[in-house]
Amino acid sequence: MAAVEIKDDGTVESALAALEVRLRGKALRAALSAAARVVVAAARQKCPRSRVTGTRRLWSRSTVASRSGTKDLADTITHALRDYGERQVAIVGPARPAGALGHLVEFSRRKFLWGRDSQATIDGRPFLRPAADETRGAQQAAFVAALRSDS
Amino acid sequence: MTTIDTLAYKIIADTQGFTRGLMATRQEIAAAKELLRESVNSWDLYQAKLQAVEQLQAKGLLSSEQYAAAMNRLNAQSPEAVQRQQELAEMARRLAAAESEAAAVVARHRTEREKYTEAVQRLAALKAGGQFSGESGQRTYTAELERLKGLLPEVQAKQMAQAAAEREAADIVARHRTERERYDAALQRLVGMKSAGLFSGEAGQRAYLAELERLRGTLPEVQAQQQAAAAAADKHAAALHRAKQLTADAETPFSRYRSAVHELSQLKSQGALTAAEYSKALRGVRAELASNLPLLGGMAKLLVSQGWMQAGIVATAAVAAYRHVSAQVSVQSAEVERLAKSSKLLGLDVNTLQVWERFGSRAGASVDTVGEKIGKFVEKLGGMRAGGKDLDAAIGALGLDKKRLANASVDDALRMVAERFAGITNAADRAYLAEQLFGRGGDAMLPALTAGAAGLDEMRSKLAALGLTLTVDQVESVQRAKRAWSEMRHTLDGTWRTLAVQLAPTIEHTARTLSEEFARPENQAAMKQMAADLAEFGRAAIDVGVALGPVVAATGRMAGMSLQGWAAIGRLFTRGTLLEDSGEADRQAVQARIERERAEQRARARSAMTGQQLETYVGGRQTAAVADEVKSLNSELAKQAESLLRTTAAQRIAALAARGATSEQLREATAWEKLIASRRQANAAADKLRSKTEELASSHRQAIETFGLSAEAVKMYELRMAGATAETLRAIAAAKSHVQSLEAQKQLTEKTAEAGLQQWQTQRQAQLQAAGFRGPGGQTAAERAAEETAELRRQRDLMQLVARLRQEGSSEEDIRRQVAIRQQADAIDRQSQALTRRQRLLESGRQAEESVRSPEEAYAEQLRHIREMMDAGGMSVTAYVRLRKRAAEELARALPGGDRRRGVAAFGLDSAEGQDQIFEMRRAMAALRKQAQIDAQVAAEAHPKPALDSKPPVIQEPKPPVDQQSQAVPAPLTNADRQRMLDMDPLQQSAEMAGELATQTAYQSRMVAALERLERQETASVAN
Repeated sequence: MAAVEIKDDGTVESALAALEVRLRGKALRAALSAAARVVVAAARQKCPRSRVTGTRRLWSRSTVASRSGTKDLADTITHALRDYGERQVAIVGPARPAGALGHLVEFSRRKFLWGRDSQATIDGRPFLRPAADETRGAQQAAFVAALRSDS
Repeated sequence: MTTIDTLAYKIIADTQGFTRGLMATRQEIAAAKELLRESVNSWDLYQAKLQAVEQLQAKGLLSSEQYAAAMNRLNAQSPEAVQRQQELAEMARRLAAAESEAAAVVARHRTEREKYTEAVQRLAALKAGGQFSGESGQRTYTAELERLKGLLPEVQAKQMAQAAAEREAADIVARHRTERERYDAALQRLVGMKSAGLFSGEAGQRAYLAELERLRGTLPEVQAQQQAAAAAADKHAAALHRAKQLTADAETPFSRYRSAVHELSQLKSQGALTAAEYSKALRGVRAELASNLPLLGGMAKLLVSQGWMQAGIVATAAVAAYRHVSAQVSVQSAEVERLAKSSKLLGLDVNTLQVWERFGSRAGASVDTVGEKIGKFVEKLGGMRAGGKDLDAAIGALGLDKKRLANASVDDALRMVAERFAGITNAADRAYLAEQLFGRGGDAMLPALTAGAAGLDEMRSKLAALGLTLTVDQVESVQRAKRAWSEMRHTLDGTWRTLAVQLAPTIEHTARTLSEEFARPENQAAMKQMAADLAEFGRAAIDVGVALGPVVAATGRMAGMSLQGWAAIGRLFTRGTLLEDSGEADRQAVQARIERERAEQRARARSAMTGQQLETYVGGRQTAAVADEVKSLNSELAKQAESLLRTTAAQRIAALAARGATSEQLREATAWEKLIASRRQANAAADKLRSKTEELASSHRQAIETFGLSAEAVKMYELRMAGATAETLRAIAAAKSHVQSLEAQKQLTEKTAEAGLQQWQTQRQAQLQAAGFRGPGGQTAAERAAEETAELRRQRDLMQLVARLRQEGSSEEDIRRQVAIRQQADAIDRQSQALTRRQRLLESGRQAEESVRSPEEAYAEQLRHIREMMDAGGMSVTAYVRLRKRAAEELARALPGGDRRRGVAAFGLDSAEGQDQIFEMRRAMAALRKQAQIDAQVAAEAHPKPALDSKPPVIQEPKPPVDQQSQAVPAPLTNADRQRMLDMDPLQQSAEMAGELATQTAYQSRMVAALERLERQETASVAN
């Protein structure tokens, strides 16, 4: 699980300084949501879709049956907010239950066939980490813009 | 809650390190901002606005005109300008207050004559302005003028004196007016009110007639006639009453009986009659006596009648038949009534109900039980219609259509149930369903139900064959008959009650007379004979025994119906006996006597009745409906008669009728009353004709005798004709001449005093002029003399006021207060005059100053005024330029061509400051010229010349002068020009400036023309 903390260069503090103290929590949550939405949009673009890549045709009948009616992994990517007092956290990633296999796509893993380790490795296709890394500046900008709009 | 756990990216915001931040709320920040905004003073605000305008101008966001307008507005809003405006407003307010106060003071001390003069002047001005055009306007003007004249004190006093004299004369005339004249005047007023429509409607007509009658009653001769008629009617009624009493005393049955007995005794004593004949004749006389007694007559006739047995049998049979018929009719009527009520309650046909009752009687159920069961069925049917389910099981078992049953009438519903019931054979099912349909005990309906529709129809046919079925008309006829019978019984009860009350005195009188008669010795034998007859009747009664019992009982009941009829039957029997026993001659004599007695009896009964009782008696012989109608008609007619015939005589006649006067008496009195009324009408018509003739003759006589006389003479003539005595007229004339002499004396005195004052003023003016008077502020001798004369007038008025107050009896305190008030008013008047004089001086001074002002001063003043108007934003730049141009042209016209030096000196151009001013003016002109060039370029770009193929809008506009078209835009000043101007002689500079001014004026004219052309083009393009 990756956790990235925004480093303030004074911009955020100045924006928060213009806010009333009692309104800071609400403004922070709105700003974190704005930053998280940037990551969510990028991750959804980068996440592989089985219908596009063609891997869905390789699925067994039981897998197709078990996955019928569920969302694509890309569509499960969302964000959630958590309040820990003076720390406000925005969590971005695929949500359960359909998104529970997100880590299997993001990272590489061993290949098991009929219950046995085939000693082969399947390469990961990371989508969340690149999305977070590439949009770092955009996250910062969205965060500050949201704060200023409230100030 | 969204769960993201297997793969997550966290963005963390930690505020632990944030130390800075606002601790104030938004409301507090807003309040602080508001406080800061309020703390800015007007000067800072003005400077800020100036800076803002300058910045906008520097950025090129404002044109020169917008900048100039904004600066003008800002200048007008500057603190100095605001303060100046406030001062000006305060000065204007004070001046207006002073003027209004002065006007109020002047208005307060205006005399009535001055007010009148002013009002007349206003009216004349309005008329001159054409406000009173046309005939109506002329009338209005004349009326208003008359009204204004009436406001003058002398006119009012004259009018009051005249009104008082008229009132006095009217009082005198009224005192000497005769009753006839009063009557005529009141009648004229009443007729006037009627012609004005004040007595509209029936009530108004009644009131008018009543008032007319009342007025007529006030006439002495009418009152005398009425009193005479009333006295005659009273006398006549008293004579009639007395004659009636005498006749009644003389013609009582007992007197006749006594005379008959006396006659028979004489005949017997003379041997003309045998004992048997005497007894027989005596019985006849007794029967006659008894027949005249109402109740005892019938019994007595039975006692003395020989045919009582046959009469009793016939009466018994008749009574028995009547009883039977009446009982059956009563029973059937009650039955029909019951059927009608039950069928109405159940919503059922009468005949259907009878059918069901017949079937119910077979099961031993009474009609009430059948009605109750059908009512239960109807109730359940209603519940089913409202959604109830009580009948669902029974309807299902019978196989009926629920909807059809709900929509059917009660007749049809019962018929449908009976149809289905006929098909059920199981007795238990029948009983169960009957109880379901008709409630507990519904088995009483089983005979009808099992008979089915066919059985019901058969029963109905049987009833029809027996004549038991009823139509709606028959039922209603029976009900109407029953109601009529009930009403008739009530009417008869009233009749008998009235008769009992009215007969009570007769019975009393009869009983007393009988007791007196029986007590006489000579009647003892007759009493013994009557007792023997009674014993004989008793024996006969024992013989008939049982047969007589029903007769008596029926007679008692019939007596409740017609006691009068029973008496008639008795008389019939008696007279039949008499007629049988007498010969033909006796028969005719007795018949004639009976008829006579009957007529007398009827007349006595009617005379003993009041009008209402007579009406009731007549009505009792007719049906109740006719009696009611007659009663209501009589009541209505009586009301109308009471309202219309309100004469005393009519009232007395009605009272006499109510007290029992006979018809002959009433006819006689009515004839008298009609004769009097016709005489009265004839008299009234004659009076009216006479009065009209007199009125016409009087008007003609007045017109002839007053021809050419003045209004006052006509008034005196009218007073004389109205009955004023010569002494009164002389007194009125003397009073009038006295008033006129007093007024003339007063006018002469006032005129003399005024002439004295005028003379004194002239002398004083000459005296002052001789002494070389020179008053303050240029006051002349005439003004001083007029002022002193006004002071003398005031003193005179004050003395007159004191004298008048003392004459009116005012206290010294009041006089002092009035004098003080008058003196204060005079002081204010003097102040007002001084203020007026000062205003006049100021105005003349301003005019004098205006007349000696030089053209340069006028030009400078005009420029200053134009500049102020421009600064105040009261005009556009175009108007400003035009006004400047006009002022310059006026100055050029006012200044002679060779006197330019004077103009330069007037401008102060020969001084150092003047040189600076010239330099500044030239610089301003150059800037203006440059700006005009820029504006012309901008205008040319904004409105380019149209292409050759396009059709420009046709605009008719005046062409500018040729010289202006040919002239080019003046070139800007250069430094060499400026140096050359500085080196010039002042005179030459002035000429140069004038030339430059003319050039600039021409240029401005061209610019103005160009701007107007542009505006017209824009307007035309917008319109197209």
